[in-house]
Amino acid sequence: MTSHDKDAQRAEMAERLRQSREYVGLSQEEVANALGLSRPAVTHIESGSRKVEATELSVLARLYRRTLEYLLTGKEPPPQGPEQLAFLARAIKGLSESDLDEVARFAEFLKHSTKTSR
Amino acid sequence: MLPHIRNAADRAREVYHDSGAKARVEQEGYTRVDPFLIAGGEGVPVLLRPMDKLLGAFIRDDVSGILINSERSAGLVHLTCAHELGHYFMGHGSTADDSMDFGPKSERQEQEADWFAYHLLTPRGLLANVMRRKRWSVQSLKDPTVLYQLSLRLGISYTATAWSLARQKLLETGVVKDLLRIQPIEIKHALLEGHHFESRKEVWLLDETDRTSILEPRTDDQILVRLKSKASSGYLWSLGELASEGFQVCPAQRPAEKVTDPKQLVFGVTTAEFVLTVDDPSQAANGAPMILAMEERRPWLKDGEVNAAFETRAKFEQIGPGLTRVAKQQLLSEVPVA
Repeated sequence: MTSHDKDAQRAEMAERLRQSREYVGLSQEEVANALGLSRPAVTHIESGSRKVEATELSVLARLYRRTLEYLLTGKEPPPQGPEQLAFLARAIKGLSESDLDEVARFAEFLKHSTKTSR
Repeated sequence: MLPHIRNAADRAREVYHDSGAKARVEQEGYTRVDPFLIAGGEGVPVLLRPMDKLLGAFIRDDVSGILINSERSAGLVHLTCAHELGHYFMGHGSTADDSMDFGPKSERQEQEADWFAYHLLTPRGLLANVMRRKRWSVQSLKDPTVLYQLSLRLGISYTATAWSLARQKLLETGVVKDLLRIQPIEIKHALLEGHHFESRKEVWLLDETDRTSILEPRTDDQILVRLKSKASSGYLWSLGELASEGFQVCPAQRPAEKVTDPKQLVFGVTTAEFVLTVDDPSQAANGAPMILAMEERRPWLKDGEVNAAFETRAKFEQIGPGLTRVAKQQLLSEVPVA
């Protein structure tokens, strides 16, 4: 693997990390606090200019409700088939593709959540 | 009332009481039920996302969740959340909603969630509490301006507020239909006469009767403070404290003939008005109530006696894409602090 490939991989991972953070709506500062890092460190991670430690990546996966594999490679198991989301088709006629995607994505997010003990 | 609707209303009353929403209103001074907090108390994440047609969805799973369209008004976001909570509390399965209008022909589950939402966000006790604070009678609710201000305090739309009063048998259906001929945009226009005006933002009218309350506007709403003034005796409302708290203040003097209530025409007393906007939304939405404090004094006297003081609190809500504040806190609390 050339260093060029490595850079490209790192840049893609950085982008996945940024998008995953924005999906849950956390700020770089909140994530920095969770990791015990400075805010600029998170900025560097998301621009691909800082390496991510394995321990940090596992915290981020937990925080963003994503699999490690997805954060590392961008591959994820296909989301639930339409049969689980059949209620959507029944509920609303003419639902846009992107609305369907939003619901499917949120369903995945919940799958990776654990019941909070209160 | 049909049995399944009665059930939903009863369940909403239980939740209003058991979730602490009632205490928040009656003891802490809030004026509305926050459905985000109730979801948080159940460990149900609420996520806002920009969507085309969907208003909201409820997904039943080991961890159930609520998805809401972030591009709608605060009132519709709150009502949608309460409706999806209805699906959750009534034991329904996953469902998606693209409208909040449910008639007698709607599916039974939707009717249940609909009645649950209304009874959760506008229980009679809450309406009575807010009306008592604001010194509003049932009669005064027939004034569109009053109805609009009530809707802001309840955190639901003008239309939803009007129908909730019909459901609680406080207003006749005919009266509600008349009230709905007037739209909030006209009311806002009248309130902000001569001021910079943006149709999508709400206009909160604050006065003496808001002293004991914690209001929850959005960070970009405009706040119109209307107070009695003794300017003719040399007293002026000082605005320095507001500026240091992070508000932009723009005074406005209304011509005297605009005062329609003859009781207000006391000799030497007029009305002073100020329009407040938040300087830095990110600062205002950090979860802590901001204090709106003003004092009326004679400016040329150092430490002159204070003729009157006004203070209320505002806890600003930021509605945008992402998890709600309470859901984010729960997410962060799971991660061991590094």
